[in-house]
Amino acid sequence: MSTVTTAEHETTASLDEATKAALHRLLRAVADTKLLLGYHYGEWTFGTPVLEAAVANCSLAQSELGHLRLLDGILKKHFGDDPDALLADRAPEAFANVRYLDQDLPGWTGCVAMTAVVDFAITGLLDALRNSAFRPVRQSIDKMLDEERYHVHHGRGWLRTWAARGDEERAALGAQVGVALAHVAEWFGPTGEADDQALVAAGIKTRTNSDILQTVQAEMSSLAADIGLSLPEAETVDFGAWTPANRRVGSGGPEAEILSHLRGDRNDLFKLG
Amino acid sequence: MTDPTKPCPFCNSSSTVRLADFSTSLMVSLHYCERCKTTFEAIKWGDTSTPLDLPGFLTDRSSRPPLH
Repeated sequence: MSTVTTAEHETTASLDEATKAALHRLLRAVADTKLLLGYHYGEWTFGTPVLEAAVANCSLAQSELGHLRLLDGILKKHFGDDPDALLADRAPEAFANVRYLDQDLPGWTGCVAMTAVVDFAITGLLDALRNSAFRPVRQSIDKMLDEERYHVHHGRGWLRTWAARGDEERAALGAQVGVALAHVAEWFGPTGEADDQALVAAGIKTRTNSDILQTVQAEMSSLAADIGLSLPEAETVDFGAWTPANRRVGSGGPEAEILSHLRGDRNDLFKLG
Repeated sequence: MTDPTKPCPFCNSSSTVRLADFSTSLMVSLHYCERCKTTFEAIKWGDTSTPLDLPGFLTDRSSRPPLH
């Protein structure tokens, strides 16, 4: 484990503009992903194979939305964001969540893949911020990781359970995990990307996104081999149109119906403020 | 699965099993005592004794340098 050898930053005032902007974009992307994770876990508090999974998803939704609030606090205090306006006013294409979360999940298999891959990948990123030179982030990470360890444990447990259920479930799960891994690879972005290099150079992250992705892929490959899951070959991503603003190749964003739910459009009458 | 790290708070037996990682609230897990047949909850945050199925890099919780 590397230690902080660069200067620590209490605020963004001591960061150069490029690093500050890179950190801003990264934290927004993590916050967007946690918003959508919370939404999907919330959606899957019913329809699970067993009641225990529904209870767990309630807790996972609470975790993700709690982490979103932590990140919102940092974004508001240190970057001048208005979290409510970010949700209410942004176009779908401006959301920088992992693409996997843009649409309703394709059944319970999709939910298991979300926990085991997408949630896990974001946990890998959080782990790389654990010794961050940006103190407000560093002070929030251990709380999040304490909860995320249970998410990862839960996701791996369901992956094992579902893969053992039968050939059909195992094949569907392998395909869905492959989709999730591809979307996570897209989110992490190209090797040597400028934002990522700036953040690592400043000690705000201790590992590059490519390094984190390799760990995620290796862990998933190892687990898949252990449980007899066949994963599709990872396709090479053409990052030509990728930007760190929305972390996608090409267009996309959460579908309108999901954003409408998140914004509470049907409950305008009851909104406070 | 048997979880001897969580003794029963009622009879102190270590013959307990973990029923669920998530229970009535986010911070507790659900357990069952096989001796006195009682269900109980245990706080899990900060718990390093409960074995979890985790990749190696997530098990390291101790090497973080202290804040200045």
